[in-house]
Amino acid sequence: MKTLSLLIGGLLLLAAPAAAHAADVQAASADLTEMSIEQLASVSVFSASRFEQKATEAPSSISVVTSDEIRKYGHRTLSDILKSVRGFYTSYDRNYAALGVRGFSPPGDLNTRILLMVDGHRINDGIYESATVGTEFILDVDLIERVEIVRGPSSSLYGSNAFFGVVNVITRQGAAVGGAEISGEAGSFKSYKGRATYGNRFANGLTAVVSGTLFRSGGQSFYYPEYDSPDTNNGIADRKDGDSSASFFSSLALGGFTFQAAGISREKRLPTGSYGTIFNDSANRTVDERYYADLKYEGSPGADVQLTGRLFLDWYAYRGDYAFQDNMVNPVAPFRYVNRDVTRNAWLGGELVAVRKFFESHKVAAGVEIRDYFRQDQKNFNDTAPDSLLLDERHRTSVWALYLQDDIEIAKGLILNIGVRHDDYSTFGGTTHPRGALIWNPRPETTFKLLYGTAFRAPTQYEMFYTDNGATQSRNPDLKPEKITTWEAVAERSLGEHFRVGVSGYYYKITDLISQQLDPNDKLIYRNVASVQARGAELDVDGRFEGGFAGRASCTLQNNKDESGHLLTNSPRVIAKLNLTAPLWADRYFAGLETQYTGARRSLKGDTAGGYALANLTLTGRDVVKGLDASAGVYNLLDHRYGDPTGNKLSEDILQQDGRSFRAKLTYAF
Amino acid sequence: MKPNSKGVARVVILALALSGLIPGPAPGETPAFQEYQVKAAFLYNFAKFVEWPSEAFASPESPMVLVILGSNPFGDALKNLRGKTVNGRQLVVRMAESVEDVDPSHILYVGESEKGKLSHILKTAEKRNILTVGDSEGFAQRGGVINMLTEGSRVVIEVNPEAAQRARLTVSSKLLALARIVRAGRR
Repeated sequence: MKTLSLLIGGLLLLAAPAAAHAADVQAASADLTEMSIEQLASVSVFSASRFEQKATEAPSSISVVTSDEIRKYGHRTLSDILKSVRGFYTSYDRNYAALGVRGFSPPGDLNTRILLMVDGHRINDGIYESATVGTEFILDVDLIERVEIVRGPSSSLYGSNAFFGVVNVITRQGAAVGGAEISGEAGSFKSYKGRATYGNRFANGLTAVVSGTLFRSGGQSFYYPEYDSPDTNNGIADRKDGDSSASFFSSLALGGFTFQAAGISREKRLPTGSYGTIFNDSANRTVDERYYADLKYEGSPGADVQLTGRLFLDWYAYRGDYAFQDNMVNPVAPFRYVNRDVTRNAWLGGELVAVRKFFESHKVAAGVEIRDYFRQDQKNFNDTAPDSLLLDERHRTSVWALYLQDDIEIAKGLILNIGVRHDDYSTFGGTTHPRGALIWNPRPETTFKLLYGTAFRAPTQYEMFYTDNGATQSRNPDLKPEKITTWEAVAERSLGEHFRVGVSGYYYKITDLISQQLDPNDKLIYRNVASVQARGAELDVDGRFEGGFAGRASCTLQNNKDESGHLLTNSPRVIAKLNLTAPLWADRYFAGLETQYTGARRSLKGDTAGGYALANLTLTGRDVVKGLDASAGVYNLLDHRYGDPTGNKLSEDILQQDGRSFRAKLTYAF
Repeated sequence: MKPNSKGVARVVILALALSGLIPGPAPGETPAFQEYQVKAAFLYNFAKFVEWPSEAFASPESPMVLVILGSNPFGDALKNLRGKTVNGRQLVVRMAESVEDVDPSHILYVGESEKGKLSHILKTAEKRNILTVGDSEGFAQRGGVINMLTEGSRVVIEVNPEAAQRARLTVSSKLLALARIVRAGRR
């Protein structure tokens, strides 16, 4: 700790830094005239902030989705947004949404290999380290200004979890809200959402946003053939799919300081009979709560220095109720009991980054970060004997890290970007990860990037310590971090006035992958066993035309193999996307169509979840009546039947996904 | 660590082929938002959030005319406004050297170069129900209707409601909510 404070002090003295956080990069190629006036008021102006990086100069392959696109394509969750982006795919086990990127999404995965942030604040918790992208995501998507998606490893800036990519969600500023807003929506499966928001910039310079959202979905009834027997309600999970949440968000900014507090509590009922629970039992459910408070300072102590500091306090709690039948004690009269998981997780931390610019062509960023997970409790017990704990793991761990990034123009149009970060964990020790990029702009409209990166993911508390006394899962405290090394080449170019084209090819090698296995007793256990080689190529085209026509199309080919040369499970070989918006009338009415093709995926049991194409269509109108925005969307327009491969916790090997569904939404601003 | 040399080579070749195509101007390409691209987009939005008296347009089909007076700092950014329509009217952009040649005009951008003649310009514009827009310190205080100031990394909008009223323009509450309200004479 002493060395750390010395280091911090040294850093301050140097007043170096930088944040060339790739994720702070501005949206590329956005047509500003398509933005709302509120969005315009909140965009960063390049000439004014010398430290921001152009997307084309960032040492990564980046996509940006703006609030305008989110609205026009009718995205309901962060998962919907990410699904529309090149190379991303999702799966849903009717509990949590899982994200796949670069062909990697092992069934049952908890999204630990993507770092999710809200305005730069880490959302991944300290037990499961999940990037929560479904209805469990902390922020109402209506409050999103834009989403920046950085592909490839970024551990050299962000540490653990920044393994395959970083998703940074930027929230709407008070001035962009500009008053009060109420929004209500209704959708298929008895789904309703209501939101009230107030935001403004006041004469004294204070900017404020306060917002609250309630969501409730009755859900569907399902027929699962795996459970088709009279003992298990003939395979029918009768209204066991409910999903409800309450969330709030607030942000106050004055001078260089921004204070944010946000939270969500979500309850999801489980229709799938996961973990061998009693099928169709009403008790089966999970409750996730996530809260945080974050104080950030941004300032320029000198003309060429920019300083960002952050202090935060975070809370995550989870409860899982699972109903089981006991046939062992008395096979003639089996009895039902509820097994409960209770997780409590709290941490605080801080971060300090300084960027210093030397001349126009050289930029150095240095940062230090510390997180103290002072409460990491996992418990498990049966309601029949609440005092006899089957699991009672209480831990306190911490991590500190130092990082440095150097961005130098070594010749006209040629930028070298190198970065390194050292993370030191109280559990397994230190790990150091470098990254390098060569970026060449031979002409203003053309960019080439050659990227080399390494990253790690620390084993989570859950992977190391969770066990329900051996009923379904065993612990493994000896886990080591898993590692990845990547190479990628990217070329981006504008074609004429309307198009931008990008191609990239990559090779990833993952070693010591932490993977859920079945041990000899048929219990789940996490082990550093697998190694994976992933290679692929991506092509995307972006087009914008006068009058509001816009679109983007992408195609991803990928081939991920494990050490024995087998194709990975839940890894499609082909992903293709096409998003189009067209103006319908009077600059205010638009149609947004998105189609997504995901190729066939192998399931855990060796079956194949067939490839599928989905189409979603949304019509939006702005100022239908003064101040009133309306939208109507159809999802899975053609009612295509498809399923996602699932993890070991489910008996359903391939779980059927939603058919055609609808949503109507009204938002009134005043 | 051996990269997938074959795949990478293929990509590089494809990329080189792409870059070999005719170099064109690449508007829309500039990825970080340039100040004047943002300001041009604001001009377009002002047209949407201000109402003119009906006699400001000769007919329902008359275009909405935006005039850039004096030096033009927008450059290519104005290209993005080409072909836009505002409340059913086509948006037309023209350049003018003097306030005497601005007729017909609905929105008048008054550049820095016109500083010396500002009060004459504003008076003339007011009589013709023209929305005056500037981007210099004190523009709204001196009687301009809308001013765009760069503060930090954001563009801040100032509106002078009295000046708008004198020109018989109605500024929508949405724009007013977003803007800083400025009264005349406070310099």
